[in-house]
Amino acid sequence: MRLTKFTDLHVLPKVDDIESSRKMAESIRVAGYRSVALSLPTGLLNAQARAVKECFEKAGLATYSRIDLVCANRHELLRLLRRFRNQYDVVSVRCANQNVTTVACRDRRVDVVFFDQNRNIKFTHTLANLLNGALEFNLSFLLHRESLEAINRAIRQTAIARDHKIKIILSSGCTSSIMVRNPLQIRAVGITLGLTDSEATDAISSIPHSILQSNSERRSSFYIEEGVKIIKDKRSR
Amino acid sequence: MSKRYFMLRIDSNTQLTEEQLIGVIITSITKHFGEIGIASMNLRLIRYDREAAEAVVACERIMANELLTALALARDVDGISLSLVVIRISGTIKGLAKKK
Repeated sequence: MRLTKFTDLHVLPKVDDIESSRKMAESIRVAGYRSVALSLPTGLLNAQARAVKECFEKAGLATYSRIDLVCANRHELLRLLRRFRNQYDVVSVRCANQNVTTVACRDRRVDVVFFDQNRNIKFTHTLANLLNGALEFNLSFLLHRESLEAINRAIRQTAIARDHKIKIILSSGCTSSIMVRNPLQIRAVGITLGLTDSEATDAISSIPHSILQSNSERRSSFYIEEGVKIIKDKRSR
Repeated sequence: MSKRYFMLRIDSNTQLTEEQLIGVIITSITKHFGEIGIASMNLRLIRYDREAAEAVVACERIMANELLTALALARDVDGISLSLVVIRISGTIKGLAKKK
């Protein structure tokens, strides 16, 4: 039997409350995840970031870094991409306005885009055609008060993404241990949104895993450019 | 009709009563899948350990995904925030105890 390794690509721990982060890490591990991508504020001190990361590593989870870019215009987005692309394992953009959304979908440096389900930004067929990265759905947005409208919007976005064979990721987007759910529950939400069984399983396992793998490879010292890497070092001869 | 049994862990600040637990599950199912959804699910609370904050619920096998979705989207009851995390799923009650 093949054991699926589940990955939660969007976890937002509270950096000023280590105890809460520890509890969250434990809940994520018990829920059945093997790896997580932590979204920490960019201005955070290294020691603080390391302490939060350690909480998750001690719980036995493979930990990766993630940045969520929220920009007012395209220039700001391009500037932040130049600055942060090489520092994080996952670069995602929260689509808060139409101009930024178009640039984020087109840019190859963006791994993941996600829509704030509470804002009226439409994921259209035009954007789907442009999208290079993956489209992410966060369970936290669906737990909002007006969740039915958010679910309706997510169903429409899923249908468009499937039409264009776009990679879909399902994440928890959790900020506390009370928002953690079992991967099978997240998978079931994916099926409700319109994914098939295998697509929903891939959305929480193989797709996030492949993004993390390719980005860690890209960040290694052996990587030159796409398709070119050092396979034998001068020193190892 | 065959069944699926779910072992749940209830994560909340206060202990829930049995009525509150069943209430939050039924509310979430009705909200997301309607009354036909809940009728065809044939939901049953098999066991609830208030101290350990664990429960076992059962539903029809073909409605297992819908119940999982409803449990994932359950958020609060009587102003108490909670999460219902599925720990194990099995086709028999005995299987829930066996599975690691």
